[in-house]
Amino acid sequence: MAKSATGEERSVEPKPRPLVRLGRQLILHVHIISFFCYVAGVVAILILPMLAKNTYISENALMPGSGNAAFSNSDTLLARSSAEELERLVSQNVNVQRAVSKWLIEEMTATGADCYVHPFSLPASALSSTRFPTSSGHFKWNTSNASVTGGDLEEQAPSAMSVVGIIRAPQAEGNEAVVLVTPYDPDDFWHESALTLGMGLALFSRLSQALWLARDIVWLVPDSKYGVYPAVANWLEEYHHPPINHISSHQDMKLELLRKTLSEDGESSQQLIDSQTLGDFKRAGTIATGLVYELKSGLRQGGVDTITVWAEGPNGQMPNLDFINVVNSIAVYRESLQLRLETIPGIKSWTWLKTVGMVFEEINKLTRVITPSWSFALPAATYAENMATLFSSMFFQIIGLPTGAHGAFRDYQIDAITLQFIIPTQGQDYVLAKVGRHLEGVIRSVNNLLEKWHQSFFLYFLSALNKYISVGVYMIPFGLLVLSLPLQAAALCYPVKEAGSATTDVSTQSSKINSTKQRAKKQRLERKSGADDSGSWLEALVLVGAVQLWAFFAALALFLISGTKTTAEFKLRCWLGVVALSLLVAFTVQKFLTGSMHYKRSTQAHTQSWTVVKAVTLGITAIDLAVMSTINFPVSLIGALTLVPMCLGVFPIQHSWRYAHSDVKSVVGIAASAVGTVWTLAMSPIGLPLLIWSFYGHLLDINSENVWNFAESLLQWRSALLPHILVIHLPCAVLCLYILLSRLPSQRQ
Amino acid sequence: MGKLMVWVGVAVAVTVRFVFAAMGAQERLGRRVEIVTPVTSLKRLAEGQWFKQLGLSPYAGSAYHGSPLLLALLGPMTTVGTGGQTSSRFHSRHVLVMTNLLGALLLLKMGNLVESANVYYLGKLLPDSKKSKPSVKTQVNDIRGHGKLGLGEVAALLYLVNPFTVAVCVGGTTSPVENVLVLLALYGALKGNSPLAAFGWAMSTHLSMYPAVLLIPISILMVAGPDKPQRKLFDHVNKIKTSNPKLKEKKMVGTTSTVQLQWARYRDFLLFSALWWIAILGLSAAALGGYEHLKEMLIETYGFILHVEDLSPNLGLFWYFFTEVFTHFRDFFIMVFHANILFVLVPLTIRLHHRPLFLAYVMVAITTMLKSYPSIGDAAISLGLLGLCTPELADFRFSFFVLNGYLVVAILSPSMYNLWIWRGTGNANFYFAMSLVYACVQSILIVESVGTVIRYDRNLDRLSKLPVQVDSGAQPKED
Repeated sequence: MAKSATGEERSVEPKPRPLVRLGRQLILHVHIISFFCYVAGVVAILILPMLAKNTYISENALMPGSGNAAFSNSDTLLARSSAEELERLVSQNVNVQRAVSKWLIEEMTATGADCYVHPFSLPASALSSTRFPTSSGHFKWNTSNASVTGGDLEEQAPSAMSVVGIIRAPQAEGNEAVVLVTPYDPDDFWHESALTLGMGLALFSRLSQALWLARDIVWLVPDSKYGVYPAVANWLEEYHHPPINHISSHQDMKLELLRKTLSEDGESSQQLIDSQTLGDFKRAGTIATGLVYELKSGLRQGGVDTITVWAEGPNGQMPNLDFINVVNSIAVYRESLQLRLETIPGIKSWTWLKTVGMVFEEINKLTRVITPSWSFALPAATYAENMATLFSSMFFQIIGLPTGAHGAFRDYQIDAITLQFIIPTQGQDYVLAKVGRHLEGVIRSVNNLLEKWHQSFFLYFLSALNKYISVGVYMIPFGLLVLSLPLQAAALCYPVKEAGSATTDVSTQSSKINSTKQRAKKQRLERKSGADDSGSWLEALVLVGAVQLWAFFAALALFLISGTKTTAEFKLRCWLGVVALSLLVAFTVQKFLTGSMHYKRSTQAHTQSWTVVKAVTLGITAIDLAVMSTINFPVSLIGALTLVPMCLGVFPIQHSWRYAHSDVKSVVGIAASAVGTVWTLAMSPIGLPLLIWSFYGHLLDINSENVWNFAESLLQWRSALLPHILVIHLPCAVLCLYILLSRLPSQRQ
Repeated sequence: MGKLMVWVGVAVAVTVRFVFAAMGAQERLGRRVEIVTPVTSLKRLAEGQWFKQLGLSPYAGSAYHGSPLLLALLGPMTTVGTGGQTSSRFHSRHVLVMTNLLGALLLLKMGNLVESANVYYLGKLLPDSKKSKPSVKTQVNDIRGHGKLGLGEVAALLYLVNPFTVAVCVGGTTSPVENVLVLLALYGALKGNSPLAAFGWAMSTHLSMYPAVLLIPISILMVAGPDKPQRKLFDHVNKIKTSNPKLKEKKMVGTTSTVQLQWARYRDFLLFSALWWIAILGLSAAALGGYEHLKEMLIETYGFILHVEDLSPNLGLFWYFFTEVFTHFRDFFIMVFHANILFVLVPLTIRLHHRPLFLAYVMVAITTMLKSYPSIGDAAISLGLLGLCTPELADFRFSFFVLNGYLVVAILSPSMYNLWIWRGTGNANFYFAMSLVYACVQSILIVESVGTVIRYDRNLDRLSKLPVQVDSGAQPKED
């Protein structure tokens, strides 16, 4: 636009330095560059499975599978017989929780382990899943909620009770521990739960005889009446932060509960309860690793016994890659079990994925004609499968909720995963033995570890269980997507000044100063006294600042409103009203502030005001996305995919209109501005919900209650998705709408 | 309107501080390594106060590393009552807000002085025959009459509403006190008030050591007055005037009348500095309970700063390096790192001696970047001083970049810290990368602002040498 006007002007200036020239070239072709960057970013996402490398065990100390598994047929028998006994006990007793806990306590004590119970009640308020955005301790600025839970502890007796057993390692000092978790639900207890607990017991008794233990083994059997996660989180909370204030009352309460649960059925339990120790919360040093496992009955898939792995913690935090490698290598190479990552079923059958896979295959065929050794593509089916795994993992991470109880460990920097073994109804013993040996092997390998998990990756994606994409690779598409934002911002800043000098050029010519040297000098001075320039900058900063503050307020309002006790629908309406009203207030304040600045604004400045707003918006969006990429990468990737075209393609409608009717128009330019306009409208606060509703309305039950509850659960789990939507997407969309609708001064010439 | 803006700005700034404090931001901010350093931490000060009350040396246990005078001043506020932590914080918060306001007031006064000096010197340099002087004057009238803010008001507001200043004030550190003393020294020097300048300089140096380098700009300010165009420009204008008979009757400008070197004032300043130093040392000794403790004080304050004993992460460049360096090279590299500040002093002084206030800004900014325990409190004062140089810096080229850079550091560094310390998925490099970005942004700011001022001077040079007949509408003096 302003480029042609300044072209001749540059020729009189001395030849600039190479770096400056490079910058100019970049800015000159910024539209093409940013388009290609975006396309390259999308392509880079699509080829991620091909860039994946084979996993390898990085930590030598792990030595997976080095020791022979001692888990034998007798242990399998023990597992099965205890499962049967448990089932019998449960069918005889009305109170399942009591029967199971009692049985567990008896059996654990019989193996010679330290045993205790951990009573707890469902936390009244938020499940504090992640520590972000707090940097230390738990988020306690909702002091009202915290005090409510504190009060509850004293008044309300705990209703659930986990049982914990600890094997003290014979050759260690008890500084470190490995936690095994086998959840059961007393309200929904059947064959699988019995099998899980039976397996747990068999493994536990096997480990209690192991001489190689260097770490204490903690067997946690959480009462997952309220879900596994809260139970484990509660236990971990008490493990790491003992409730100092309520020690006496807590202890009394525990004993009371113990008596209530265990001593009702007569004399045998009375002698069992050495209540002094059973109620004590015992610890076993720093928890190094957590392993949650459960057994599910099911069918063999393709003749192989499978293990399903869940690893996504809160906000997409993954356990150390070595852990998954160990689990995988022992399963595959020693026990010939197949590991499977949990995927969302629909994705694998997406036709476009297969098409893309086929396209890559075809391209590879072509390239192989040129250089036969060059092979990069995966077979289309494998590609679709890997992509489905990748997308599922990303989806779980985007939602930000942990996919299982292992997420609770992540809050304490403990690496943990959940394993689900599929036990067929036929040939149970054989598979049970495999499972037992596998688990023992994993524990032995973890036991070998000398330090914290630190060798391998924490920041990675798995496209298959033996294929990983490290942070260095997956940041490339993100970088490509976001790169165009600062580039375009720079391009927008630059013409603002160039246009300013172009007008002074006219004025100096009229004042007839002949010397070009003097003219250049005068321009420099003139440009310096650009009150209009700084004025529009200040205005843009105020505008963007106001909108950002409004977005923060919207997030705060959501938090405050979610604390009230009304229906979800009313809350949503209330929130929408507050947000709309505060947006009006924000714009009024902004108008007042800019109005009071009283800058002598020339029309020139007015023309450029939207470009300045756009530049500032681009800058802040790029920064926001970069920060989000460190918090929850897939969210920032989605953000980049949606926000970048909007930010780049948005122009005032008037501007696009004039451009379409001007002489310099081009088809590409018109198409770009049309795409930008449509995209902006689609991503706007009104367009996006409509879009989601029209596409997924038939799949999901979208109504105001569900929407609000979803938002509230995101808030409770401190998912990064909610701040992304409210603090990054919303202000960016509003600013883009502002740019789209901003008025230009009447056309000159 | 301008006055109203100032008052609204002050009210907003104060309200923001109290609202944040009431929301319990102190707990949160007071733990951030970007805000609190081992030298400026109020928590450590409270610790020192406890030791003192127990009859021990306040420096016992390597908790407190500040001045005993500051301890005597702020210490009692940290331990009011027995269990009354909240009330005590309330008191110290009031004090910190007051010091912030005092700092803003000093900046305002300084801005007014600088502005009138600018008008005076530019008027001398570009006399009325070039029509520049009236335009400068009308512009000044514009500023006063049409609700535009004066230089001092802009600088004061920028200082007050700067998020860094707010965070440091709310987070509870002693850096607002250090900052206000630096401002006091510069104000005293600008005003020509020797005792005040000497007091500010001696006290701020006593508190945080690094303001010692400000002796150079303060000396220039005392001797030669505020920022002005280079002397050779005045000589040139004088020459034109003496050669031009028409202008001969006009008053002579230049070295003789414009720039008078006030050596007497400087002598007073030196005398008073010595006096204040004696007083400070004497009082410190009294507070510590004897002259024999002065050595301990020096070791625990200056020695702690120079030896970089605390290697906990911060925004500076020292900690990462000194966690890695071998012990037998440590002393050598400590000297190298500290010498970085000293290396640039002489060249900068030579190049910018005619602009002592700007020189002071550059020195403060450089120490902010290269000190051993930097915090954003140091950035707050260097940005505040930058506000005083806005007329010369109007042509600053990378403002958008620098602004975004500060934003990146402010948001991304807590996030990186979280990744490293709390999530455990990152490592020290993540956070140190942000320290590097911060240093990079600051160095770009410093280099570009020095470059801009030099360009400005060059433009003035050209403008003053333009033929007298040329109808120059250009205004070297801008807002």
